[in-house]
Amino acid sequence: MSQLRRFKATDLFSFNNVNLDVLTETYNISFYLQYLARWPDLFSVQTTAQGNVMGYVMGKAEGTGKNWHGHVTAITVGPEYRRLGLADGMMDLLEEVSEKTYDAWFVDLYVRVSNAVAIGMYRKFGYSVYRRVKNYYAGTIDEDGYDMRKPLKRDKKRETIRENGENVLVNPEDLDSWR
Amino acid sequence: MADRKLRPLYEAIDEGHSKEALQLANKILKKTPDFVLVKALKALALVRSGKEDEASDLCAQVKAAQPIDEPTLQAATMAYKEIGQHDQIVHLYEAAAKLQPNNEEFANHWFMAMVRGKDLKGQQQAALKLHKSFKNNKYLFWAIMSLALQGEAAKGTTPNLSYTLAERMMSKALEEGKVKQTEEIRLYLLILIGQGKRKEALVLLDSDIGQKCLLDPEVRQIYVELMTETNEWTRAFEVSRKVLSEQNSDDWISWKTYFDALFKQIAEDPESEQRKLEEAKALIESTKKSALEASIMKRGPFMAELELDLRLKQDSKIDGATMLEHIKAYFDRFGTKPCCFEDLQPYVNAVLDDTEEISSFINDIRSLVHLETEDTGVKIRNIQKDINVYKLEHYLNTSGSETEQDAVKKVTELWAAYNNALPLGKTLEKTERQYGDDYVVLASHILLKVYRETKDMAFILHALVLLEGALAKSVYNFQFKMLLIRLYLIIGSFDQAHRIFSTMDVKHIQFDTLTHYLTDGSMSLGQFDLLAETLSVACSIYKANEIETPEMIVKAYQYTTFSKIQEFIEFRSRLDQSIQHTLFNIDLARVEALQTSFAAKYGVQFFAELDPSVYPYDDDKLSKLSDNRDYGVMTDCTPKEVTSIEELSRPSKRTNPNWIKIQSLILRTMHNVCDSKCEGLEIASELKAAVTNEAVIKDVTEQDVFLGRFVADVVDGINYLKNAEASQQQKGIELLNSCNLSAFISSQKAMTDSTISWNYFHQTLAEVECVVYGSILSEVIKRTLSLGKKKKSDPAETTDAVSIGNEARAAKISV
Ligand SMILES: CC(C)(COP(=O)(O)OP(=O)(O)OC[C@H]1O[C@@H](n2cnc3c(N)ncnc32)[C@H](O)[C@@H]1OP(=O)(O)O)[C@@H](O)C(=O)NCCC(=O)NCCS
Repeated sequence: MSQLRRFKATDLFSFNNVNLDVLTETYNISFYLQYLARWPDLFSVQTTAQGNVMGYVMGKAEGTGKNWHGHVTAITVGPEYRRLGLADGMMDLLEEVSEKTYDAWFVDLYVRVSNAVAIGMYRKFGYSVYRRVKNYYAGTIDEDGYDMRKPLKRDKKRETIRENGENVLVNPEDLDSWR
Repeated sequence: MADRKLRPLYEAIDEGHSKEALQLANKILKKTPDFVLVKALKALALVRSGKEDEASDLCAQVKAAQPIDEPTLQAATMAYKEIGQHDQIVHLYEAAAKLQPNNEEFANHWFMAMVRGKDLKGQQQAALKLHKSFKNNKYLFWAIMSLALQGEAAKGTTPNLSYTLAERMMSKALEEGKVKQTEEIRLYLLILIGQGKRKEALVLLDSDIGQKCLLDPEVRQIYVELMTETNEWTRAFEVSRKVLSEQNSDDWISWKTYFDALFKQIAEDPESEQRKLEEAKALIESTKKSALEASIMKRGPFMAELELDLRLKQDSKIDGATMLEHIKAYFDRFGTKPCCFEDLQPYVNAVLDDTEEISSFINDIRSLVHLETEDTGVKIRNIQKDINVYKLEHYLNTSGSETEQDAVKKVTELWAAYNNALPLGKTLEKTERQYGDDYVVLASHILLKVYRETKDMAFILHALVLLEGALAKSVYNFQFKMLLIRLYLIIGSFDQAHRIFSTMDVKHIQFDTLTHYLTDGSMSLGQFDLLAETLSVACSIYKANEIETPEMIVKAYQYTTFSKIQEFIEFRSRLDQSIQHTLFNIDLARVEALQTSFAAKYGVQFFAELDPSVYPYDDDKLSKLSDNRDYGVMTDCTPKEVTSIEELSRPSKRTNPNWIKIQSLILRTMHNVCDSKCEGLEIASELKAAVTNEAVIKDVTEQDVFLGRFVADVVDGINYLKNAEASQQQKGIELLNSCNLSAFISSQKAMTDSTISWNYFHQTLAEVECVVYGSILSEVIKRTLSLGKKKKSDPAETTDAVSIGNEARAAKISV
């Protein structure tokens, strides 16, 4: 149970319970505000009845033609609020807005190939691997990323996804320029 | 041709070779002294070499030339931005736009420059001009938004002409079919709601165009809010019922609306009570059923059941036993989730009052925990359940009757439970927490409480040992880290606290909201270099806000996201006015004062050069400070009416506006008395008033007050000395002689293992500050007297007056 609403700029003052978790990166002001300025309806937060931040999702809409899609930039839930279906609720909302407001073909996201929890979760939500991107996560230890997708209503023939995407290896520079 | 000539200059600037850029610019300007672009570039190079004044002069020349070419405008804009003269950018583009009325881009820049500079009226005019010349509706809405913001700023004044005009323009735009986007409707809504015209706002959303916006989830929320605010309960009831039964039964906002509407309807028509309640129970049952069948079980309907009970309980329409049964059932189902404890808080509070009831409830739920099982998965879930029992027990045990022995026993029990859970977490990722971590958090809370009652530092050390041990097993558990930081500060160890803090990767906005956990009151712990570095780094967020946030407000206009503009403005001003920024400034000044004052004359110089403007003290300014510090991060199982863990764990009182008042006044008084251009009188008497005002000093420590009094008294004495009247001078000398530090200093007991704590160091720092400030002030006295001596001399007095300085120096040595 939670209150799901749009993320507000001033939520940045109180999202620490979520952002202090190691797996959640804290970005500079512009990063968040730019998303809010451009895609205010794709940035949502779940709060407790008392208004404490439990988790949030930020996304955007991008691409051209049949590549026009919703993208999940970050999704995170605070440690004590996991396994309550919050990620599920936020993904639902993001998909709904991508479909109804933006008329997108699909929603996609990137995930570390080692993040089994998240991959399993996205599969449960109806996502499948579209391709594997070599060294998508560059850092001290490079890691490949899966590009996972879920088709929306507009994609009646389910053209934007494919089977066995795990075996389709691409380089980051080969990803479409809109990424 | 010009391009080729300028390339090296551009490159030098881009690569940060400001010196070289200056030489290149000068060379070009020698040949072509009126090359405006080069002047602008030179100005940029000048700012970047720290020569702001010269840069500013040059920019003024550029501006006077009224440039209309993009490169010059850009260079000058950049230079102005870096000098911090945003208003000049407005003039720059205003002139360009006037010279080239058909250039849309210039007019846009002009508008944006005003947005950055918060000139609402100006941006309104620019937007109207844009709309008139280029006919794009976007500009019309910019103008209306600018008006709405003026309306908001003038809230409370009647008539509010800006709002009236904004509304009129909006309704005209709607009639003319110019309003199409959801964000434009949002603009209309904020104008209406800003004026309290909720009925009109509801009508707008009921209209065809309003209905189209309901695709947006947030507009749907606003819609329902408007219904409840205008007492349209039947509608609110229907909408929320539909959402809950058809879309999302995990939505707390809808449940709250649903119950509000339900009871309003019952109040209006008492006959319907039975039927309505049956209906609500049926909704809960049916949503519960779907939740149980769903692939991911959500808590919504189950919590709704408790919420309905709670509301019935308020009218004594349900017996406690039934409610308790529901609570236990909820616990049995969701006790495996960490948040179960938080979920149940309001409901157990309402139904349990005496200790007997509480202990039988705890026994009941404890019997639902099954730790004796071989199945690891089941066991892990039951550990969480067990933790929730302990938390509820802790939460409900408000009597505080626990003895020290009971507490220690409980800690031992929790620590054992933690250790029993450890083997289950062997395969956990490094980034995850061990299953039993909260046992340790709770044990630390208990130890902290006992420490507060007994003042026995052994309990803090005990907690430190437990937490450090557990942190080694869950290296990223920030709950452990927050507690460790605080406990280390209590025992006076800033570097240990800092060590932990630095592993938390606090950055950007968190500099403003979280740094206080480490730095509040830590000046007393003496690690000045480490502290000053932490503070300076954290200050970067305020610069970032100055540079980044205005650009984002501009972006919101460009994307016509009207629903976010007020929010961004609020965000910007909360950082602008951050109380934490002032606290950083004060501590940085105090550190620097101590570090530069190894010889009194440098101290005098430091204070003379201090810029007093960043140390607010008047109540009006202080009340405008925004406290963005996040105090809600630490897990807390204490009930609301009891002192929170956040408070229990802080080494001293939370820094607050009255603390700022005293510290600011000390710094300002020192500045005034050290800077020969200033008259110290007024500020010193403000300081005196503050340190004798009960309402102020209740918020600070006695040491803070002592320092304030001491400075005020000495400065008072100095001011008498400056007087030409001999009798006044005599009075000054008497005053100075009565400023005695030795009693304060000798009040400090010797440091032993048991007295070593933040409190001890705080007293020590206060003594050091008194002594240092005292010696700076005695230097001022000397200078005052030697000036006076030239007029008329009396050597006997001189020695007397300077004795305070000597006393101070002697004390310094003894410290
Ligand atoms: C990944 C994350 C967002 C999941 O959030 P959540 O709110 O706990 O997820 P939900 O409760 O909606 O889970 C939905 C389903 O996903 C699966 N799932 C989620 N977390 C899981 C876990 N730790 N282990 C196994 N399955 C898991 C389950 O099937 C779950 O349904 P169930 O609880 O009924 O079994 C959260 O764990 C998190 O913030 N992790 C850190 C940040 C991160 O890794 N983000 C993803 C980057 S791509």
